[in-house]
Amino acid sequence: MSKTKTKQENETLTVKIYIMGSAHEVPESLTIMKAMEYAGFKIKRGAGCRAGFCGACGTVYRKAGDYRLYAALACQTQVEDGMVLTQLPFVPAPKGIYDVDSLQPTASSILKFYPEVARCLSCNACSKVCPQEIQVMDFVQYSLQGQIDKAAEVSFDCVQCGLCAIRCPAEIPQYHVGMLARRLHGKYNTSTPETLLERVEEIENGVFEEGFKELISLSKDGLKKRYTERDFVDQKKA
Amino acid sequence: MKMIRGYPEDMRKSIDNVNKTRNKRIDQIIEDLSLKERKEVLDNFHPDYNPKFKRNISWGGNKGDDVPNEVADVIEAYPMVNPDDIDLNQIDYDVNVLIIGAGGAGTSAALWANYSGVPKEEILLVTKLRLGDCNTVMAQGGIQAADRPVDSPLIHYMDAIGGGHFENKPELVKALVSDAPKIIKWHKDLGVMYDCTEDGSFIENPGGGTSRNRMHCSKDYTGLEMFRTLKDEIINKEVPYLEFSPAVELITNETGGIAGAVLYNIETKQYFVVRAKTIILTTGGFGRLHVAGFPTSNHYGATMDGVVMAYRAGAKLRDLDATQFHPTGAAFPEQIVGLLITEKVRSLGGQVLGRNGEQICYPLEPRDVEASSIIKCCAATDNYIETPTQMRGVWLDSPLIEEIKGKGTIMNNLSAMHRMMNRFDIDITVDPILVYPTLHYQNGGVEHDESCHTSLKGLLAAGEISGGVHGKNRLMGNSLLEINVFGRRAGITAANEYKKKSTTGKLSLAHVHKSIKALDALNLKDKRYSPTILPEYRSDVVRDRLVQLYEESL
Amino acid sequence: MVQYSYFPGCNLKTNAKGFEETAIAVSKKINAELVEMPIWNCCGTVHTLTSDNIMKRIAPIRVLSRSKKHIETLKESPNQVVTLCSMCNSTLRIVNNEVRKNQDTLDKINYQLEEDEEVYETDMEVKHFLEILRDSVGYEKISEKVVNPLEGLKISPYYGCMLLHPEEAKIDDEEMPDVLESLVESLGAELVMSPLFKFCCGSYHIVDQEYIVSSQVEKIVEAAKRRGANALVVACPLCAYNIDQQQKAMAKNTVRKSPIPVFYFTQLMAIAMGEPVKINHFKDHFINPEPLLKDLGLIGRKKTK
Repeated sequence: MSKTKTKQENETLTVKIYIMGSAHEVPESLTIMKAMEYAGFKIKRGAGCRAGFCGACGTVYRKAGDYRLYAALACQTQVEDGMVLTQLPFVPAPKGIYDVDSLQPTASSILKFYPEVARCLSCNACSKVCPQEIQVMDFVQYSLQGQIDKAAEVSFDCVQCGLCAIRCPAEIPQYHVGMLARRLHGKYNTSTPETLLERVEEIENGVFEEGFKELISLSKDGLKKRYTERDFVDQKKA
Repeated sequence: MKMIRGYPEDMRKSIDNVNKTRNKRIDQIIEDLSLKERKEVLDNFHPDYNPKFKRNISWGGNKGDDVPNEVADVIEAYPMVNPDDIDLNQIDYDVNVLIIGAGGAGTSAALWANYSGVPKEEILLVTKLRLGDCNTVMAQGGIQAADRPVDSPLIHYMDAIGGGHFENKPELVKALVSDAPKIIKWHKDLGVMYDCTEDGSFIENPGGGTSRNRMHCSKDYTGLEMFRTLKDEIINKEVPYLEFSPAVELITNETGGIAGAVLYNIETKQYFVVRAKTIILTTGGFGRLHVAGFPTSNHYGATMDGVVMAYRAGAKLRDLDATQFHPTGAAFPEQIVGLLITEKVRSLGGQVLGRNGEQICYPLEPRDVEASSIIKCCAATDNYIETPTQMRGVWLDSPLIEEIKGKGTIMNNLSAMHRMMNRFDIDITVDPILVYPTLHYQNGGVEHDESCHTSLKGLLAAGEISGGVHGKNRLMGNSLLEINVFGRRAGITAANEYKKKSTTGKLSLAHVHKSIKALDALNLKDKRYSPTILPEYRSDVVRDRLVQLYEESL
Repeated sequence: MVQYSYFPGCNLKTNAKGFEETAIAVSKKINAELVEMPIWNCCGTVHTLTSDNIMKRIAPIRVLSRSKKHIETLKESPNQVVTLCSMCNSTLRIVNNEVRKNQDTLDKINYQLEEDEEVYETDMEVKHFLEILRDSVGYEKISEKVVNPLEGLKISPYYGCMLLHPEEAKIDDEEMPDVLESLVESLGAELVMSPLFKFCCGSYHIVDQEYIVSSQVEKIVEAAKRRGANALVVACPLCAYNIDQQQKAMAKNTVRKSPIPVFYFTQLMAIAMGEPVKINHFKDHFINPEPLLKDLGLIGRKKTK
C-alpha cells in the first residue's frame, strides 16, 4: 500500500487513519487514544489512567493490506498510516466470589471458581493478544497444574485489560485466574516477616506514644534542628 | 530525522557523554542541599513559588488563599447542575454510607466499613470511570512502612514532616506512620505480593527524603498489585458499586451537614439522588487541570471534583498552594511526555545528569527540591538536552542501576518502565531516559482530622483529596500509605456512625444556590462550569475545520 | 547418565505427587533420569479427539514440540518424551501417529504454532516410563538396585484401559501384557494374576455417575482379593484415584470392610530401592498403605528376617 504522508501548513507530518469507518488525518506522533481525541471524539469509556496501567483502553485494530487483527493499549501505541481503528469497550467477565482465607494454594482452588480453565486448548491466542506480552497460556497452564507460584509470577504484570478473555476460544477469563493465583501465592506461599509482626505489636502496646508526644510538642525550629541532625542508615551520603 | 535505537541521532551525542562518564560516577556522591539551599532553589524555580501561576481565591471559606490559577478557575466556576433541575423528593439510592470515588482510598474505606459492621447493602461506592481507573494503579515505586528494627515510626514521622516543610498536621502524620505496619500486615493477609528476599524478609528501598530504607514494593507495579487485590476483595464482599456515575454536587440538610449527593451518569446523562448518613469523599486530586501548563502523570478523571463540591458545601480547605511536580516525568518520546518514570529508578541508584553526562544534583532529595533542581538545569543553564519537538530535559541514568546492582535488576524491578520505553524502541538497560518534571500530586485539599471528619457533619474525606497529611510536599511512598491508612479510618468512622441512631434530616441544595449567588457577586469575566468531570483534549483545529465546512455548505 | 525429557501432566503435580517424586528418585538410580520439561501444557486429554477438530490437537503437538526443544539441553537424550500418566501417554501417542500419517493435519497445526516458534517435525516418540524400564533399562538392572525386596506383598497388576488400547497407543500386548508383572517380580514381590486386569475403572464417570465407578471398582478389587492379593499396582492417576477412593467409600457404606492399598509402580520401586518413605506422599492416599508395609517390615523398622 502507499505510505503517503502529507504535510499540513504547520509542517506537522500526518497520517491517514480510519476511525469507526471514517477517514481522518492526524499528526503521526499521536497515540491511538490522542488521535481519536484529535479527530473529535470525546472518550468516556475506554480511557482510564492513560499510561498503560489500568487496562481500560485495550483495543483492536487492523492495518491496510494485512489480514491480521492487532491488539494494543490505545494509550501506549502510536498511530500508523492506514490504521483502521475502533473502540473496544471493556467487557467484564464474571469473577469468582471467594473467601481467600478459606482456600489453599492448589489447582483445585482455581478449578473450583474457574472450571473452564480445564478447557484450555493451548492455542496461545491469549499470549499473542496480550499488550503486556505476558505468556498468558503458560500461566493458565501453571494454574491447572497447581504450580501457583509460577502462575503468580508469570501473570504478575497483568493490567487486566481483558483482551485475552475476549480472544480465548475456550472462554477462560485468564485475567481473573491470574488474580486468584497471585492472591493465593501472596497469602500462602510466602511468610509474613517477624519484624513486621513485632512492630505492629509495639505500636499497639503504645511503645512510641512518649516519643510522639515529645515530637508533637516541638516548635518548628526544634523540629528543623532535629530533622537536619537525623542520621541516615542505609544510604550513601556525601 | 534518523532514529538510532529509539533516539534521534543528535540526542545520541549526549548519550555518548553519559556512557563515557558512567564508570567514574558509580561511587560519586553529590552532596544534598541544606535547608537554606533548598529554599533558594524552590523560591527561584518551583512553579509553586512563581506568582505568575497563582492567584487568590475570591469567595467562600478559603477566600484569600493563594492557589494555582487552575484551582481558582474551578472554584470560581458555576455549578454544572442547575439545582432546580434536581427533584430531591425522589431518592434513587437510600443507603447508610456513600463513598464517592473508587480508587485506593474509596475502596479501602468501603472494605473497612464492611469489616467494621456496615452491611454491604448499606454501602454504595460510586465512581467516575471504572472501579480502579485511578491514580492508585499508576503508583509504581512503593509504600512506606517503618517495620525494620533499625527504623521506627518516629523516624518516619521526622522524614515526612521535614519533607512537608514542617507544615503538616502533626496528628495526621502520627496516624499515617503508626498505622503503616498494620496496613502492610493487612495487605499480606489479603495476599498482596510484596517483593521479598530469599529469606522471606521484605525488600525495602530508599526514597527521596527518607533516612531509612522503608519502601515496600511489588516490582514497579506496586499500586496496581495493591489495588487489584483490593478490587478483587470488594467484589468478593459484594459491596455495590456504580461505574461511570460521578457525583457532581453534595446534598446538605437543614443544619448544614451533608446528607447525600447528586450523581450524574456520564453515558445516559441522567441525574440520580443518593441519600446517606455518612458520605466519604475519596475523589483524588487535580493532575488533569494541568497546573502551570504542565503535562501530568495522573489518570483521565483527576479533575478535583470532590474539592469543588465540598467547598460549595462549606468545607474547609488547606495547603492548596502546594502542588507536587514529580521530578521525573518522561520528556521523550512525545507520545508519553509527562508519564511517570518512577522514583524507584533513583532509589535503585539512577542518577540525574546534564547533557555533558555529569550529575546535576543529589538524586534523592525530597520531590519538590529535586524537581526544582531539574527545572533550574533546563531553565537557567544550557546543560539540558533538547528533543526534536523543543522539549527540554535531563538524563536519568538507568543503565547505571545494572552496573551497581547487577544484570537483570531492571527487568526484575522495573519491568513496567522497561516495557513502556521498549514500546518506543528504547532499551533502558542500555540507554538513559530523558526526563522533566510532571504534574503529579495535589498536596493540599479538604481538611480532616485523624478520624477523617471534615469541618462538615456527615462528611468524611480520605486520600489525595485531603490536605494536612503531607504539608507542602509529599514524600514518595506516603500516598499509597495515605489512601490505605485514612481510607481504613474513614471506613471505621462510618461504621461507628452507622451504629448511632440518627437521621439524615431534610435534603437540600440551598448551598448550591448560595454558591451561585456568591459567584454572581464576583462579576466574573469568563463563565466557567465545574466540576470538570473529564478534561477536554479534542483538537480545536479539527473542530474549526468542521464548522468551516458546515458554513461553506450553507 | 541418560536423561529423558519428562512430561508430567497435570495430575502428577496435583493428586499424584507421590507418583512423580518416586519416579524421579528411582530414575536417577537406574541411569534413566527423568528431567521435567521446563515449560509444558496440558496434553489435551480433556478434549475429545474427534477427527475433524484440529484445534484440539494443538495441545499435544505443542507438548511434542516443546519436548524436542528440551532434549537439545539434555545429555545423551533420545528423541523420546516420557510420560507417567497413561492418559497423557495415550493422547500424545494417538496424535503423534495421526500427524505422522497425515501431513495436511500437521501443516494446519504447525501454521498455528509458527508464531510461537514451536513447529513440530514428527521426530519425537512418546514413551511411557514402563517402556523405558522394560526396553531401555531392563529388569535385571532394576533387580540389582533392590535393597529391600518386597517380600510379603502380594500384588495384582491393574492396567486399566489406556495402557493397552487402542492399537496405536498400547505399550504392551492387549491380551497378555507382562510389563507390570515382570516389574513386580523383579522387585521381589509375589505376583497375583487377576482376570480383571484391564476391566475399566469407570474413568470420568466419577464426576457425575459415581455408581458406575463404584460397581466397576468393587469387581476389580474383589477379583484381586479373592486370588490372594493384598495390594494393587497401577500406572494411571485416574485409575488410582477411582479404586482408592471408592474402596474407602465402600468400607464405610457396605459390607466390603477390608480395602487393599493401591500403589503406583514407581512407589513399589522406591520402597524396594530404599528411598525415603516421605516421597511416596502416602498421606494423599485414601487407603494408607503404611500399616501394611509396616506389618511386613518393609518400612519403619529394620528387617527382622
